[in-house]
Amino acid sequence: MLNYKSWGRTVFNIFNHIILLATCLLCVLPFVNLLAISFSSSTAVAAGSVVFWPKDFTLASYEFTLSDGKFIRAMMISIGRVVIGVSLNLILIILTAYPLSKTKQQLAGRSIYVIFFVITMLIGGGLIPTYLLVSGLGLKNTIWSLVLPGALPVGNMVIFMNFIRSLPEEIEEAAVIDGATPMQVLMKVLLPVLKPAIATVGLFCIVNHWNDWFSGMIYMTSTDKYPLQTYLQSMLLSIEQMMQQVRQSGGDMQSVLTQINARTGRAAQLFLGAIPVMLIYPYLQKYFTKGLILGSIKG
Amino acid sequence: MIKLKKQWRYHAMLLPGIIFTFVFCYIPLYGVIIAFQKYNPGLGFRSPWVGLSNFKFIFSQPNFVRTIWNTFYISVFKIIGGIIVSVVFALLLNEISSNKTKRIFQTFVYIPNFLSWVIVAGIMIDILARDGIVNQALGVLGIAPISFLSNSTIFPWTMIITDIWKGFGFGTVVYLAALTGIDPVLYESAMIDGAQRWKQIRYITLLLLMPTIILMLVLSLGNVFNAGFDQIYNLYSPIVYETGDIIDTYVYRLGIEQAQYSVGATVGLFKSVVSFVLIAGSNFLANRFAGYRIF
Amino acid sequence: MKKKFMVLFIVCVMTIGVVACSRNGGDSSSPSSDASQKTSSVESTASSELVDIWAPYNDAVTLTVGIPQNAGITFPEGQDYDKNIWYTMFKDEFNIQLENLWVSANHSTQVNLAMASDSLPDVFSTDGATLELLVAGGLVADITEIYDTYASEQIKSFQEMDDTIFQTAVYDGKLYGIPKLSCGLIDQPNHVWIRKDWKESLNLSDPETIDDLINIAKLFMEEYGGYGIGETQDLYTFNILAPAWGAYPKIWVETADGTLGYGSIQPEMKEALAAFAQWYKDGILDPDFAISNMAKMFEANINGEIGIQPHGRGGWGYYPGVDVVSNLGEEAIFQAYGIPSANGETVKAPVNFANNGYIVISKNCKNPEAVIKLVNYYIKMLTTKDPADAELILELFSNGLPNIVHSIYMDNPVSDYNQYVDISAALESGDTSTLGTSLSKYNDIVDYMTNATPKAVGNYLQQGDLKSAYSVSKKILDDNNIIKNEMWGLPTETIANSGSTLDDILIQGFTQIIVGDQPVDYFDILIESWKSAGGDQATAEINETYGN
Repeated sequence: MLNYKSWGRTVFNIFNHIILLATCLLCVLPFVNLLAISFSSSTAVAAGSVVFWPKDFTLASYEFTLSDGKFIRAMMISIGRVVIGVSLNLILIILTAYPLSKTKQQLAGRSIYVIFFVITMLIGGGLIPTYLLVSGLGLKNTIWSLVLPGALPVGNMVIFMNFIRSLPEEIEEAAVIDGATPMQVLMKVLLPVLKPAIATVGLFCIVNHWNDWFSGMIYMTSTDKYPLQTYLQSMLLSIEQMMQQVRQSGGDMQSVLTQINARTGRAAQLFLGAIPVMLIYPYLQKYFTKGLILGSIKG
Repeated sequence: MIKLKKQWRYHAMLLPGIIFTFVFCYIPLYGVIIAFQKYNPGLGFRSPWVGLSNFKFIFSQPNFVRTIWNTFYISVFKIIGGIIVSVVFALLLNEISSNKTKRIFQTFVYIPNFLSWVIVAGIMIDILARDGIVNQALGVLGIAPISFLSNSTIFPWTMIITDIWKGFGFGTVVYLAALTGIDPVLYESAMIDGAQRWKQIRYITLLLLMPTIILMLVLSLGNVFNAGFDQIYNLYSPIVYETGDIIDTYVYRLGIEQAQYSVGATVGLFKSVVSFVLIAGSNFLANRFAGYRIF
Repeated sequence: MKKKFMVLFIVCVMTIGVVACSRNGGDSSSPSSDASQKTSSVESTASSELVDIWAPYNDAVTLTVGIPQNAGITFPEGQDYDKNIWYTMFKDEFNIQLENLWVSANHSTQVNLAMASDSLPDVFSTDGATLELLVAGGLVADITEIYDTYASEQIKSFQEMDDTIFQTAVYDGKLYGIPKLSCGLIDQPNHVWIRKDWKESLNLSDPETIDDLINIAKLFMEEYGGYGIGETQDLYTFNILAPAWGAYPKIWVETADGTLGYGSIQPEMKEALAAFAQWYKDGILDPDFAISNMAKMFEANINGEIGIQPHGRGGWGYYPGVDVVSNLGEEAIFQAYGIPSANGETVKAPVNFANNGYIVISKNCKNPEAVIKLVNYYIKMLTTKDPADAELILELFSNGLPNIVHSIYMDNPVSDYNQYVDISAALESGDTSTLGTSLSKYNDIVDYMTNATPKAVGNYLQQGDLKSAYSVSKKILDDNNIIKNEMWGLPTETIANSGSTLDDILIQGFTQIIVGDQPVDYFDILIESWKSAGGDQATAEINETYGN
């Protein structure tokens, strides 16, 4: 057995850690800046004096964003959307990717299927026909308008398909010989071993659903039905609409509003909107590092 | 026939996906017609038919053609650079023995991906200003200040590098997942044969990672005409239109007076056709010369 | 699905320049405003149908509306977009129930989608370009007759103030929308704002010429550091100061040979560019302006780095003024000055076609006259001076609530001018009884004068200060030192389709000239590219539509 703890290896390890650490720092700094902005007064931000630490610490941006109670509702809607949407995504992805991972001999007409799906990645009808369709199906103003149109994300499906293909064939053979149907092979043999793939593709689907604000904006007619990002985005757009036609206004929000310009508002918005996904990510990570093969073939 | 009988289950599994895709992706495709009309939402598809004149219009717009080149240039380098950086990082991360450390690093590198360009751009503009932090650091090293954002030659590279920084976490995740799928047995037998870690990486890891890399490459090609509207829009300015104006930013400015559905549809169609050619072409090449099947 | 509409704060501030406009009345200029409104129904119509335009409906009438979401609205307890004081008043006064089809942060997209799916609300507001599409699509009602019969005297008098605006809603002799008008021209002139305490401590006099201004800039730089004048990548400052040389960029003007031409390509621009190029070389302009946006430019104000800021529409006080005062104290306010001349000739203020859109009624609306009644009511409430209404006025017009009725509100084109006159008088006399809806602005101004409350500085600098924006603008209007954009109406085809790309050619070129990458003579090459890229065509169209 070769001795791994050689001198070269140790040096490499040290350098590796340093590089990774430096990169991480680089990655995190803008986020720190974002947080600092969100906790600062708009004056300090407008003066450009906020870098990594809040100036004129204030919770006004968060107050503004969270006031209304609608924020919580929007968050719930988003969570609902992610749960329904991603479940649907994964079911469709898995069901579609598995047959497509077979060869031409194992699946007749495979090429046609593939072209059928991939073409949709490249070309789309555009906003208006899609809207007409969704509205014609009676989905407008329901959560289904957010979840059904993108139910099968082809890009992610292709990625998943390739994960399946990268598995050695022997895995399935044993089960097939035992007389298992494709569905059984899929569920009992493949899925347990595909956990990293599911976690990866699942993460992408979650992030997509969570961050999409545009669909909510066009399909929901009242702010009560907005998912979170749509809600936050709408508040900012409406600030702009307000600034376009400012009327004389008194009232309590005035003082809070003047404390906030778009930058601090956006910062608080972004942070609040990103928290849930960022919490999910470490949870999913443990699936990334589990070996695909462990224990499945040996013996 | 025996084949189909055996295979029917596979076809059945495909059915739900086909239905969804057909309904939500194929039915709206008729909207492509908008590219050939002078579209008025009030008239819908009774809008006047203008054939190819929308195409003529957009291609004869001053400086539109140059945006195609800019888009291509920036995209290609972003894709190549992005893949290289992601792969290198996945490899480096893979070498970390402690799972916990691995996870921590992994979380951090993915963070920039969560931020929107509006925020990141604001920070970038500050950092890259003539008297910003980066130039100050360069000054300490005796280098003259660089105009990252206002110099036409440098601007595209600023875009490329900052975008790689923001997005490499995404690729790293995919490559790492693929790396965990590599059978440890292979490494063990290589070790027994006397191969050091570096050789192992070259001959085992990279080789087995290649399909994933090619996959990501080909998928990115479908995106080559979306050189990153959010990023460029927030960071560009008239002085760098020469090299920094991409198709989407140009069309956006064009449409700012009124919703230019026709122009949007026209450019969209153009992009789709070219992307299709690129993807089909690269899939063919990858298959022919390297034996890789992407699709 | 691939396109997102990114509307940024910065874009908005750039194009509109914040605030300035107050939508709370002041009196109209027509003498009938004091007369009891209820009698106007008898004298109103030329078509002598005795219709009581103020009568409520016997059976309840429902109108669907689509409105934009607006962050400036603060709902009092128990009110929201569906239930609020306006809707209640509409029901009480007229038996008309308003129903929201949508409340959207992306109103214009919703309008387009509704057009495409044939599901337009009964009444909504939109811009001129969309109106054109609506008319072409046959989706909106011809309201010529209804307007004639039902519109109140007040509305008609406001619309008559500028018939060219009214005519833009007329297609083929028929009226298809009611122009929303604007708060008036006094809001349009630009100013140069100069920091008060610096100017006073250096004992400098008001700038009479551009050279004076530059002198002030240089002295500020010497004494306080920084650079002299800010600028953005869109040449905001340049566009504001260019009139000093008789150049009027971005509007259409009458040229030497009597035809109409684009202001940005006239020979006077060359002098303006030359001056700016020199200033850049001398370090007076921000060296990084080519990548700066408005927020960045204003940072320097807030930081105390510069003392001169050209700004549009009297809005400096609102933004960045509030932040400047919060950061640097009340002494650091900037005051408004007219644009000084560079060549001894009077500097004119460019003025644009001012109309905030159109009130539009869908063809499917069953009771189109109901809409007119609501507009009548709005204007009546906007302009009433009847003390009995004072409390109601407060409820209706505070907290940004008028934004709820975006679909039907209309402006009084002389409101701001009169408001300024009224407030100035009240400041002198202390008598606030006739201020009507201007009262809260007045209070704000007084608040600033006593307590230096940052949030009130906007109103103070717009109208209250001795060197307020409106004091300068009023004089400009009174002396008629304005130059109207000859394109006094909707853009013509080439401009609507490619106006922004044509401007891009110029902005890019001008920037290169100013930073010194190109000599000033490059201007001649630029205008040739502009012309051949479509500028000539645009010019021809303008002459055809708006020329003599």
